[in-house]
Amino acid sequence: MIATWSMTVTMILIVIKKLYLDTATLVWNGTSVTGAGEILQFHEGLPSSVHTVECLDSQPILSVVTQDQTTIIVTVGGTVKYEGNAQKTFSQNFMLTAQDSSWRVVTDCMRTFD
Amino acid sequence: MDNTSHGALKRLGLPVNHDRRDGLEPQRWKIIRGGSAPVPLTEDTITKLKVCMSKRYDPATKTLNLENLYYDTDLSSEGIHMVLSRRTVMSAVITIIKENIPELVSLGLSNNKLYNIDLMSTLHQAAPDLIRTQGYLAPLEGMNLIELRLAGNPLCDAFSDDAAYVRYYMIYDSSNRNALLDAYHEQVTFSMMYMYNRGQTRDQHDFSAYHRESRNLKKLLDPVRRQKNLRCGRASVVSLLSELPVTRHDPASYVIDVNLASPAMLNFTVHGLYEEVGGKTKGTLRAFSRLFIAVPQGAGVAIINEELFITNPTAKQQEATSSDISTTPVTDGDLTTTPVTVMLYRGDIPR
Repeated sequence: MIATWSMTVTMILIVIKKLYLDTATLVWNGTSVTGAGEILQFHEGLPSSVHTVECLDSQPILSVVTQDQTTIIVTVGGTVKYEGNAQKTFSQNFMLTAQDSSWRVVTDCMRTFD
Repeated sequence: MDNTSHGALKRLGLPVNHDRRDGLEPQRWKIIRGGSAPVPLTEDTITKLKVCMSKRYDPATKTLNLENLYYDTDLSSEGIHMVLSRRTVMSAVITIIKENIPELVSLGLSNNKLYNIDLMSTLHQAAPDLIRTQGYLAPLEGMNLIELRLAGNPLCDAFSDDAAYVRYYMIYDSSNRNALLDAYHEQVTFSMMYMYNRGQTRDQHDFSAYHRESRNLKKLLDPVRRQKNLRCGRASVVSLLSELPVTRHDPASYVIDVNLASPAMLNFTVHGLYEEVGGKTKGTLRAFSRLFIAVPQGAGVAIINEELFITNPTAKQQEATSSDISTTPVTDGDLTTTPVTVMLYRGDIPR
């Protein structure tokens, strides 16, 4: 049972790591983290949380800007409750770029409204 | 880690390990306290500092270069090392500027590790003509140093060295938004969305002015409306902005996260507060996050993507602004030429 659980956790963590480009950057409430591995570690250090997405929008970025590297921005707004903290509004934006047949995170910026 | 540090870190938004997993050491944090015990400078030291500064001052350009002051050859030969990040040292430097070179226009501060000093106000009192500081890192943790200018201003300065911070001025006008035309790329894409959080302040719940324009893909399923609310092209965007409620922004509330600053693209988010100043929602306070993607254009940058997210403020935000915003004067028309200087700090947070 424990073996299965830790395998699942490992798989989830691998997925998170794969979502980000190796050179991705995360800015989380002003803390800047670079690199998929570091970003993963950072996420591991956060208390457990429940996010509720209330709104979501996205836009394409002109190909002339990205030199035909298909890229979009996605913005999310909602509420988050970190363990031991009161519920807060958060906003988060991502810049995603297409690689093989999936989206990879280039930038991830998250802020809670305190 | 004692309870007070734990609390302090949480307030800064830094992650704190709650559990201590077996075999793992609890996270260790190095807390850098601001302001070491003040050691007053001797008369002799101040005199030597004055001489040093006069050698580093160029009257022709009114430029003072204090780069790498700690390793200054003259001072070092006397056994003196000036730690510019110490309050007493910085204070002495500013006094010397005030008394001797108040006509100072440009100040270089590179390589002095100025993380935790807020000196802009005292500096400007000492040297009112000062328009340029280089190497100064404002005390905002984890953010990038950029003064953004998005509408033609001959003071634009781009630094191409590896410190890699780019200076522009950011102009946001709250009454004549046509001035923003220059700030936008011809093919800009703009959309916005809003959210009301019942768990926060209750009285700022009227978002009707934004509803028609809102592009929340979770709720807006009609493909025609979805397309329509994705505003494309400069004229369309500026026209929309002119229709949104007139606002008075609170620059003191601004917090900026720079996600990417490369020669091809600037990706940053401004978070802050504004107040609506007219119509039935007059006096309503809003919290916003505004994502900008900007690309080089001429001597400055042009916004090519913009996403605006607005929500109701928290009680704390409301309290913090109640006195500030109402005392900021709103002057029609004048705002088109008033730059809002936004300064950020680029680099890793010193640990």
